[in-house]
Amino acid sequence: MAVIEGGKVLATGAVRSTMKPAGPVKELTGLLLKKAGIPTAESRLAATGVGRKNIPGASQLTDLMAFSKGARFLHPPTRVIVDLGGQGVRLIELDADGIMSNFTTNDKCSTGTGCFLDIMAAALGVDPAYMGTASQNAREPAVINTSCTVFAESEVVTLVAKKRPKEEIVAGLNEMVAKKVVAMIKLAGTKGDLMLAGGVAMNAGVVAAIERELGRKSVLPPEPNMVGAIGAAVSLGASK
Amino acid sequence: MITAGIDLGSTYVKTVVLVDGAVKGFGVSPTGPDHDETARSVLGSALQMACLRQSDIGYIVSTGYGRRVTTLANETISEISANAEGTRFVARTLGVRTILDIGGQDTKAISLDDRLNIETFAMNDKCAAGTGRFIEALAGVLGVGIDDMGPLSLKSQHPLKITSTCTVFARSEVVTLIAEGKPKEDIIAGIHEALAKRLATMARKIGVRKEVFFDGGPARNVGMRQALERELGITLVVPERPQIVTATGAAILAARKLEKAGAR
Repeated sequence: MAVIEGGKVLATGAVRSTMKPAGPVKELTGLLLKKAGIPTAESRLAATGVGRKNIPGASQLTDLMAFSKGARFLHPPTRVIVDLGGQGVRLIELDADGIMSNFTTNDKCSTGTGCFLDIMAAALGVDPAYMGTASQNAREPAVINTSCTVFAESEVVTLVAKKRPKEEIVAGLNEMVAKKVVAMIKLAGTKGDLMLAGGVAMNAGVVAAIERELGRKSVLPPEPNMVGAIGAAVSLGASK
Repeated sequence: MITAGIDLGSTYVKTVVLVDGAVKGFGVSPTGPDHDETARSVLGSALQMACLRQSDIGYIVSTGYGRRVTTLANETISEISANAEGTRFVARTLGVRTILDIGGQDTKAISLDDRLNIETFAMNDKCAAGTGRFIEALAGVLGVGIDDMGPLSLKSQHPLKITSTCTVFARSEVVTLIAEGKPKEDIIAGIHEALAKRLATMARKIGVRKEVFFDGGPARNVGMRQALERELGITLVVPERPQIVTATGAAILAARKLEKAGAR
């Protein structure tokens, strides 16, 4: 969730998704508005994402619209947004005016998603947060031969049994994620500024691997998991 | 003439001891961390069944994913060739033109010509969703033994649909279905149908021609067999021991090698 006023992000926050999001969302809204110093009566609410219909009183917009608007707000020259989500990878292309011109989505396969990284963290017996920083210390990335989460999980277990340093395994996994994401980017054949968004973009190792594999820099917003929320707020016309 | 075939699969190691063109012993055991050690112990049980010793074996051919790891074998061969050879041996007179072989980590569809030579083949080793691992992973979530999956699924009145393609997502889906109190047998029937759909798609790529031979560990699962028959709209030829077809093929190739060497 993000609170925006006058083209500025004043407060952001997150709660874990539940089946009934209305309660937690209301609580978080109150908290963030207080933090931003805005009276509730002067605020308006927009919702995006799978559970957007369950938020009473909020205007709704699709995830794709929200990401387009959020990316445009954060970095106007953005032409491609890659949303590295928990259960899928989405690629949104924008034209010069910031209007969505195309999108590709992969939610059939868990490889490269947040879910993938969580499973690997469990297989390695480390905290998910470790996954983001460990690869910096890797001397040589372990080669992961498969492209499937289930098979990679077995490979990781074997590598751990062979006493391969965990940071090298993590580096290998980051490369595996990067290969999949970059293949998707190359397939779209996009040019121009590329923004990485979504929870997985908070993983520095994955971001570095994607940039290496892609051969160019990406735009990384300060809070990659907030791009959609910021876009929802922007859609209300509260900014600019 | 005594030969042996060892099939070092990702999930199980299988061995067959062949004596003058007849299977006299076989062994099957889950693949342990040490492939070579597992192969030795599985060959040991096959030899015991055949009342033979390792020194009696004239030639050993290994096949499968771990075929190069074992030091037992005189020679290695691809599992596609070994499987086709095994199928020719097991079902020579049955007019097999298509083989569907599901393994623990890969699935093969092989088409044979009229002389039972390999014409084309397709293989999936990229994604767990089309392999035996799919059933294994979901059986684990359900807390059902792999051998109980087939019989349980036959009790299903209303098979549920598993909508996720990815094994990982299907795992969460099954957890949700269990939490909703859905009958286990309906979930299991849905799992078999999901895998059958994926196999059928792969088989159609190389063209499904009758008769269709179905082997590999999951072919032991009666629910899986029926789901695949429904999906393809045909009756499958399933050997008595679907798990050892490829190992049998390797043993036959070993016998042929020995024969040639003897003739020379």
